[in-house]
Amino acid sequence: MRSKTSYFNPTLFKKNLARFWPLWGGASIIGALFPLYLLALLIHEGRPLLDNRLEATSLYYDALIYAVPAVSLVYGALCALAVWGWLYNTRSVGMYHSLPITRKGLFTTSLLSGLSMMLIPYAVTGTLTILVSLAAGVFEPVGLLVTILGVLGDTFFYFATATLVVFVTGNPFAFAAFYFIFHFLAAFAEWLVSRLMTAFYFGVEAAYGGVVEFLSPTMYLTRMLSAHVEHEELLMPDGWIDRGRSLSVTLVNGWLIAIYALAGAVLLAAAWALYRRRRSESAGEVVAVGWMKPIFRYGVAFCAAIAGGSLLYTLFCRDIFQTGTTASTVPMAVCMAVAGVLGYYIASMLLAKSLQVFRGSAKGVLGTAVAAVAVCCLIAADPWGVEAWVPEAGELESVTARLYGVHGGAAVATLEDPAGIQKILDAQAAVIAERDALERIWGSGLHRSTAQLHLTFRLKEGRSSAVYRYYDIPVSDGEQPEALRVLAALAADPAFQESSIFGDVTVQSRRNLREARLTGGYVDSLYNPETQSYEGLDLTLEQAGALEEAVRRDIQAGNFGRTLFLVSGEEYDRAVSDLHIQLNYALELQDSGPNRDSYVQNETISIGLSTYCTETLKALEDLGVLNEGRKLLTHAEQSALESGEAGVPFEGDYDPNSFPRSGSVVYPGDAYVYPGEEVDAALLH
Amino acid sequence: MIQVTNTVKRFDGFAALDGVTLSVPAGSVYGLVGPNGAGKSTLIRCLTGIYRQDEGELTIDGQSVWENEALKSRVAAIADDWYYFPQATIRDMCRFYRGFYPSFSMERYEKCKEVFQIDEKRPLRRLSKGMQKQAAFWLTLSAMPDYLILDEPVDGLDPVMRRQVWSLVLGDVSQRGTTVLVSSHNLRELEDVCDHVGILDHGRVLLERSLAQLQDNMVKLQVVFKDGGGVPEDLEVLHASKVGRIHTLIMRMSAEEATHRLAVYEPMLVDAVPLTLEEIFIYELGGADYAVKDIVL
Repeated sequence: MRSKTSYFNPTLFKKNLARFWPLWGGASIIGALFPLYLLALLIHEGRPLLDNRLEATSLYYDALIYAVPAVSLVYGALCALAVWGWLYNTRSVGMYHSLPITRKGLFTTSLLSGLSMMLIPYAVTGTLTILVSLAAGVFEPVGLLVTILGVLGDTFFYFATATLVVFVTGNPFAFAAFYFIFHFLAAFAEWLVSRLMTAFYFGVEAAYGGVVEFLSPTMYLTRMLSAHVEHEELLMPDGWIDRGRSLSVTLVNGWLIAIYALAGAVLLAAAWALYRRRRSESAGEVVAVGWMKPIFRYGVAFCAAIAGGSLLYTLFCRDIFQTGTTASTVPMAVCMAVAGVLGYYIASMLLAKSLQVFRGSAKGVLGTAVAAVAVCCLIAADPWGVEAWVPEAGELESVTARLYGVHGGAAVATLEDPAGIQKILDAQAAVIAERDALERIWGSGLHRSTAQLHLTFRLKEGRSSAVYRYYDIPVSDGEQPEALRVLAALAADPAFQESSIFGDVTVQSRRNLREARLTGGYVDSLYNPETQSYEGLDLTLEQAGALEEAVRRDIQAGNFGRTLFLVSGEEYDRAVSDLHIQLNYALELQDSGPNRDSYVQNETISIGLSTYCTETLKALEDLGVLNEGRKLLTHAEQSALESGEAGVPFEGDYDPNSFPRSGSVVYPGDAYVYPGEEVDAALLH
Repeated sequence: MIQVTNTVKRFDGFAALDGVTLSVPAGSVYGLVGPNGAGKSTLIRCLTGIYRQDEGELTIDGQSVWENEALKSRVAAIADDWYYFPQATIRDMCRFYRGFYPSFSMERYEKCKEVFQIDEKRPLRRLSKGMQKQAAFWLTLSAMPDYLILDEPVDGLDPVMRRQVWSLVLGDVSQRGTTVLVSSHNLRELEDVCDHVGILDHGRVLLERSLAQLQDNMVKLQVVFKDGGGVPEDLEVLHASKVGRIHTLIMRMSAEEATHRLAVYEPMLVDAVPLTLEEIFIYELGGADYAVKDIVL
């Protein structure tokens, strides 16, 4: 007959808190420093640090998004080690399990102890923050409540993951390793596989796609959560729109924390299931769960085969065996097999806690080596057609193409219309078709420069991630590859240049853009022969409007983007200048939130000019911007001036349909959207 | 009563307990004897709920031990490597034990303080091994258990303290009917305190008897044969040694039967000498390939 089964033991609970008070006490003190610092500033400044309550809410949310996941990740591990650490020592396991308390009682009591230890510092910090907020008059209960719920969710999730890892492992070192592997394995595995594919496939780049990032919650939460602040717009006297006070603050994707908290409950249930089956004698082992040991052994071998194999190949084989940009299969397979076997033995040694693991390992080692070679050959054979994949225009939402010129400079455009997308895809197909020829040029070592085509495909519904392709085209003194001609044609294409220059201020390119209104401009790097210096000039709205029209005419005439793929450096220098036109716009944008509210944002685009932007140069002259005292200076002229020679006026003709070869043909100017990296960031996210 | 039936416990395929069956009568002091690796500590860990047996059954008062909180509150154990919290004092551990054992007696705790005379406010980690052992007894006996399970309990204790500890334990046995299961290599200690003995070897119980039964089953005789003759070849002896004309024979039978058998050879002298428990242990295990020769009597 059984009786009296308790699920909570107050003595153990108190003992846990009493034993580890330095942990939660120290964390509380560190946490308390932040509100106390705000209080000190408040006293020092004599006024509230934040203008209104919503700014305080925004501050709460920023803490919830960036600080709480990272802090909880580390602190959760420490708390779990504190309350479950006895599982890692044979003596303490014996004591705890011989006590008159069931494992269920031990589990729930230790769980509550750990959660309490996690929450106490947050509670102390939160309470002090509330007091400081009240003192500063910026207390906002809704934001606070959302933050508290978020902290609770994060805390529960991280402690649950740490608890699960505790029951999988048998010693604290294994715990630390497994815990961080658990949290970052998905991202790491994606990176590993993409690295291997990059090594083998021409043009396939191991850009982090975050396909399985949701399995790495700290990274995912930090990326996905954001505090959206809607500001009042202030129309400034110069026509610029400035940001006023906050009107509302919302936590975007806050529901993800609730999902992770639910996942935490599942993980806790799994932890309990493991504890019920856990053998006390597993204390001290690396992996405490019997059926997980082969998974660990072969998992380590797999990761070692890919990561270590790639490393060995890079260190010892690439310079000897590789002729082009892609890896040689046989050496890579050997490297992967060696690294995989090493990983197998390392894992076996960790599991056995002994160096003597060689006897009887032949079967496992052979299996690992064969599997590593098979994986290598499978990836190298590319049965999925990753390398040759050129998507159909219809399956793409958009393509961002970045063209990097032979002598520097770049053009970035995002195209969404099928016709424009098809032009980019044709260029990609042309490059892929010349793969072997390009690899031969790489192998010959005769190339003196490189042009690049970087593509980012945004796939339509069902596939949310982006796909990347980076192609390097070698440029040598001999006959140039056909791909270079195709890229030159793409660079000068009006649709491409329209997007490249005006993409950020075009309704068709920017989904949330309702209206773009030109507000002014500026011309930079005008050369003054008298002072022999460069100067800038503000443009009136009318001047900016005239220049915008001229730029569009040049785009239509194919005058932009043609210098990118000039092979001759001399001709490039004779065409390109440092002169830039900056056009300022006020953009009316639509919020992506549920209310679809609109807001205004300022945007500036910068357009670099070459001597072949004839329409724009004429407009600059007509507007009096360019004259005897303010000149466009090409790089060649600049060099001549610097060396004391007479200026060499630009001469040349232009045929948009011809391939730029050294001698007679010169392509004027490229342009790029400023700031270019913002385009990239927008695409990535 | 502690009842262990056909219990098997394996570690990575190795059977530390290989079908152990034994029973500890209520109110008895049961000595569990066996060489290193025999499975004594494993059996004790199974009995205290640390390990779960792979096969068989372990019951105390008819109840399964595993996850039985109510039953375990009546069972206290001292492991050979007794654990205490690193920063804890005896007083701290007392508070901890009080929270788990409903029958924990502060009165007993205070009385034991006079016996052990250790500063209860000193951190346990600063105490010697022997003093830590005393602290373990102090706390465990204060828990007033009905069942006391001890694994190599008096290692590290000086002779005086051993006597005092056993005195306290046996006092509980006589006054409260406490049942004691004790494992030890110190056979002389067990001889003085045990009334039942089980011999464990290679995870199996070789024999299990009361001390009286054990001593009746084996006999040590000092014999002088006529004309200084040797031990007859047809006489079944476990061990024979000779000093001068006196043969010391150890035989697996009662003293009466041995004397009767020897009478055939008309010995000049036959004298039964009491066997120590240590001698019984060695000769019983000798048949199980135990290295008898390495043990000094």
